[in-house]
Parts: sequence; C-alpha cells; structure tokens
Amino acid sequence: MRFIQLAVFTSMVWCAFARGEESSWVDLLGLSGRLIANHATGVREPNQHQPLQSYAAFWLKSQKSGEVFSERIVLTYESVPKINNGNLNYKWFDRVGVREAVVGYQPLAGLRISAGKDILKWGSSDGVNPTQYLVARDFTLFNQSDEVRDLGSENLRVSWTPNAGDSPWEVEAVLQARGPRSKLLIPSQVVGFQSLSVFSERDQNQAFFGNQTELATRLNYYGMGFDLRLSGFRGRNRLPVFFVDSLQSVTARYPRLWGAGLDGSYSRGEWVLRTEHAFLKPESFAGKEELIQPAHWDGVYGVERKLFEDYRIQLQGLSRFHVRATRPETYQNSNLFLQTLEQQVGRANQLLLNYREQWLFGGTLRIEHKKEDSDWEQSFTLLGYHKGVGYLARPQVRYQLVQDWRIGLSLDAYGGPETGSLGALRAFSQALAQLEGYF
Amino acid sequence: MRSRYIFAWIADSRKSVETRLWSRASNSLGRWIFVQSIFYLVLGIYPVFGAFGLSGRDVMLQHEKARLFEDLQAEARLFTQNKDRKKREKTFTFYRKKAGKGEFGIRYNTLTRFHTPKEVTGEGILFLEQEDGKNEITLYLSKLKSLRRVETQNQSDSFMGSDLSYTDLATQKVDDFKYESSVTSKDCSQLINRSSAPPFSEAPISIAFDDHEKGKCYLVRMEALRDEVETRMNAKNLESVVSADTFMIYETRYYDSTQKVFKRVRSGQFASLPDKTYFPGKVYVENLKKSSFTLLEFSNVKGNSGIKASVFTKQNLSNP
Repeated sequence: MRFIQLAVFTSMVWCAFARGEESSWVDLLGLSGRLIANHATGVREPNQHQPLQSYAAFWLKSQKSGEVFSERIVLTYESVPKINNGNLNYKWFDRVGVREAVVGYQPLAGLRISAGKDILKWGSSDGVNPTQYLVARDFTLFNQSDEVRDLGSENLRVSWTPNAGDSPWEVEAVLQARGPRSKLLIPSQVVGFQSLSVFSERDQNQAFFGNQTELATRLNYYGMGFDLRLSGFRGRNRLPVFFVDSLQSVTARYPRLWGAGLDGSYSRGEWVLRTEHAFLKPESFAGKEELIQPAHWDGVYGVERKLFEDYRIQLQGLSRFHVRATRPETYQNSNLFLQTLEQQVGRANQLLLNYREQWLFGGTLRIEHKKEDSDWEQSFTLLGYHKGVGYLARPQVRYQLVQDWRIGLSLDAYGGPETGSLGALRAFSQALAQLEGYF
Repeated sequence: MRSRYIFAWIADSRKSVETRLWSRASNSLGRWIFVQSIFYLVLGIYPVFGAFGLSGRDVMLQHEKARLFEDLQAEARLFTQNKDRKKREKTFTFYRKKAGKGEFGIRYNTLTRFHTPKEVTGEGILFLEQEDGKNEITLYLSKLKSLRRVETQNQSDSFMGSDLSYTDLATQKVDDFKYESSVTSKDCSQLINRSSAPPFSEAPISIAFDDHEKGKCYLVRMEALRDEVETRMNAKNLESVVSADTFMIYETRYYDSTQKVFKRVRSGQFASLPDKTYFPGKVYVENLKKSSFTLLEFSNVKGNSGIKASVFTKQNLSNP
C-alpha cells in the first residue's frame, strides 16, 4: 500500500515538474529540486521477500553565488520510517526539514566565511573516510547514494587562501555548534539486550554549544599533480557507544573524540593514488576501558585507473590498528548481574564499532562501467575485512529514462560470520529499486 | 629547421632593404629612388619573397597571437548527438585566463562551471596548463562535494559525454608539434573538406559557418613531437585550416594510425575581442568513427574583463 502511495506521489511530482519547451515554475523562481523514491525488499532470512523499507524525499534547492555574498538552501520533505528499538517494526511519518541553509561572505579576496547548516565532507578516499569528522550518516535509510544519508550540522567555517586567493595553500577552521549523529539499524537479536535505546530522550534534545561544540581545522596544499591535507579535530564520536545506566536501561552516548589526520592524492600517468589516515582518540571512561573503543589509527590506501575503454577500477586497502586489545569478558563488577550486562554491552560496542581485533585489515574493490554515449551504467562494489568481520557486495545498474531522470536497481548482500560487524547485518541484505529525478 | 633559417634571412633582408630605402627618402632624389624602389619592390621582389610563403610554425605562432587575450568569460551550450540520434544538451559558464608562457607556448587556465542538466549543476572542471606542457585537470563533483583528478593518460577522454576531449578544451601549444617548412594560401572553401557535410537539419541550432566561404586560408600539417602530446591529443598527425586574415583555425582534422581522418573540429563565427584577438562563437565536432557530433556554442563573450586569478584555483572550484 505504501509503495502504491509512493508511486502515485512520484508520478504527480514528475508530471508537475516535467519540462517541455517551457521552463517549469521551479526554473522561473531560480530554484532546482530533486526527487528520490526507493523501495527495499529483503533477500535473506528472516526478511526474505519481505518489504524492508520504502522511502521518498523531495528536495527544493535555492543557490546563488556572487563575488561577495552567496547562499544555499536545501529544504526537504521526506516520508521516512521511524525505527523502534532497532527492529524492523517501524512506523511511517512525514517530516519537513532543512538539509542545508548556508550563507557565505567573502569580505576579502581569499577569505571566505560561511555560516549555517552545512554538510562539510572531508577526506580523499572513496567510501571510507577516516578524516570525515564533521558529517554523520543515517544508516537507517536504505539508499544507493551516500549523499542522501549524509547529515550535516550548524557550523561556522572560515577559510583563508594567501595571495588574494591565488595560492596553493589554504587554511580552514570549522566551529560546529553541535555535532551530527549517525543513526544505526541494529538487529536486536544480535545485540542481545532488549532495553537498548538507540535514540534516547537525551539524544533527541541535543543542545547547541556547551560541551557539544566541535572544532576542526585543516591545512590544505594543492600542488601540481598532487594535493595534501593535515587536519585536526576536537568533538564527538559520530557513532553511538552503548553504556549501562542501570540494570534496566542501556543508553547510547556519543563520547568526546580527538583526532589528527592526513590525506592526499597524487596522479601519475594512468594512475591516481589516494591515501587517508586519522589517529582518533575517544573519551576514556575510567574503569570501563574494556567496554569502549580505545584510541586507534585508521588508514586507507587507494589506487584507481581506467581499464579498457569504458571501465574504471578502484582498489583500496584498509587498516585499523587499536593501541590496545579490548576484552569485555575481563570487566569486573561487584554486582554480578551488572557485570554480565556490562560485558554484553561491551561486546555489542565491539561489534557495532568494529574493533574486536586489535589490528584489522580490509579492502574495497569498485569496478564501474559506463559508455560515454550510453544511458546505462553498471558498477560492482565489494567491502570486506579479514578475521570474521564479513563483507558487503553491491552490484548496481542504473538507466537514464530521459534527461535528469534515472532508475536504478541494486543488491546489497551482507555475508560472513553472524558474529562479525558486517555478517551481523545479513538480515538487512536487500534488493533495492530507486527512482531519482532532478528538476 | 633549414627553412626557418631561410625565412629568418629573408625577413632580415627585407627589413634592411626597407631601412636603407627609408633613410634615402630624406632628400628629393632619395624620394624618387624610394618611390622607384617601392615600385620594384612591390612588382618584383615581394612576389619573389611571397613564393617562399610562411612555415607552418609561423602560421601557428600567428594563430597563438590572434587568441592571446588576457582573459575571457562566456556562456556555453553543448549539444551532442550519438549514432542513435539521441540528443543531449548541457550549459556552462566558461572562464579562461592567461597564466604565462611555458616551455611549449602560452599557457592558459580554464574553468567550466555547469548549469544544466540539473543532475550536474554546480559541477566544474578546472584545466591548469603547466609550464612543462602538461595539463592538470580536476573535476568538482557537486553530489559528492569532492574534487577528483583526471589522470594525464585520460585527458583524451570525452569532455562531458561529447566528442570534444578534455585536451580540446585546453589550448594547443605551438611547440608541441613539428610543422611543414612552407605553407601556401588558397581559398578557404577549397581547403575545408565538404565531403561530410554536417547534418544541418538535425542540429538544434544553425551550424553553417558563413566566414568559411570567404578569404584565403593556410593548410598547416602537424605532427606530435612527444608521445605525451600524441596520447593527450589521441592523434599523432593533425592538419588545420587557418584563416590568412585572422589566423584563427577554421578546421582541424585528426588522423588515426592508418592516416584516415577520424575527427574533425570546425570553428567559426568568431567574436572579436580587444587587441585584435578572436574567440570562436561556434565549434562543431564530428567523430567519424562513432558517427556522432557535438556543437559548442558560445554567447555573451567578454574579453579582458579582469577575471581574478583566484577563480582558477581548486579552492574556488570546490565552492560553486
């Protein structure tokens, strides 16, 4: 039923904005927009052949750029599923939101100041970005594009390029009033405790400023044939960490996080090389070291090149090293029940944040095929880790119906041991159909 | 190489003859001799010199001079049609600014910022021509909010799905090629190959180039001097039809390894810019292998308007 509603909604919007010889009212007002509608069906037990999620979003964008002032506003109307207790028993609700609302000011050549709600993406590598400190992701939305899942926040950004803007150097500083928070879909049978509250009341009413304020800085160098960035961050973890409040309640918190990073890219001949590293130190909760993620170094090493006439291949090596091994089973508490629950929560944190192994290796492979004059494009993406974490395989095909309108089909197949961070998500393996249009 | 020495000697001789004649014009006898000299010069000597003609390199140096504007801004429409007659249209703003002189010729920096189709609004491509003759090409992908490099080896790839390559959008360097020692002028209409007339009826706008029907043109044959240039141009041998009047290129033909033309780029309706420089109002590209065509139309062309150097930085590229 919901899918039929979505189809009708989609058709109506399409008809309203379909452009013929004359411009639509959206064009006349200097606006632009985007429509996204998708439907995911489970392909593995226990959700095989079950509808997992339908989602529709309508974005309306205004963007103007001048020499001194600029503005960008993206308003959204979404029909989204609300997740209850990490299960698939979600309710539907519609919401109107501000995805981005930024004003820019350039008082001097080379000096840019922007303020508002913005999505500031950092990092050179693809898909896995250790230095992406400022953006969270809504993993509860099933979508073929990470862009749809990106969550920004209210911030002030100042960037300065010497020599009136004509220099390879750039210094950036971002003050974020409150950090965005990633949302996770967590199968409760894997986590194992029923009182889990992913979105606690405390999280919903996240305050501005105070201890929520974040600061990130970056020094960029754009050379000929290469670019390099050094970055620093003081803020909060984007992913939730579970803590036992009492025997009855487990809540999600977003610990403080300190980070230092380096990333860059280099091109030579047919190759593009990319690398990205961050040393991240989460808040230390005294007495609970065995239950939380220790300081760690995330590294990505990538190569990309064209293959034959119409293919591109990209390989990335992933490394994750923790300064110490964590063993939740060694946690001690005088209350045996509390000790058991704490150990259980510690194991859940290990699983969700993927730090069971002290040193973990992984990789990504992406192959794309697109002929310049064709309406079809295909890609295959594989993400996997060693030591029982599991894998995600995503074949995808997209077809351009008419200019600015595409349909896509993809399969997200999670595999590996059920106790692994990716293998545990096998219940969310899905076939996904998507319609996307720009107007 | 020898022909270049001959040309230099002829140029020097011509200059010294003129200087001597001019100094003699200071008295009446001298004036008489001067008039006589000019008479003989025009009737006799000049045609002899003219028979030597210009070298291909000289013509291309003149061409470089004729497009030597400080900066330029224009609105562009790019039409493409593939062999299945499927048409696409893209619009963008085109910015170009002189960056200096490099080892192989004048360097420019170019920025294109896309407006339509809506899917690519805000995306940009920055071309930085380097002193060593290489180009650095960076894309800004607005959906990903990130910069991406185009590998050097892939600069002969299609520019936004058209028959133009990234390299076609950059400027051609004189010293990237070897030229014929001498070229002679003929009627332009004779030099432009009409055997594959463009499919006028199918083009979204007129692609007739009226200026190609008039005047004299040089046919300049070029051979890429370095493998890197050949890779970038996707051809070792090219030939250009250059107007003897404005020194703008009317047509360039790209030859494959079997010496068959596989791509033809025609330019016309040139906009006149300050300091006797020009910029094409229309560029028409035929890909004879793919049976596809591309038409690039420029409008609102503004020359030497003082575009800041900071426009051509990666920082600006990522701030649409």
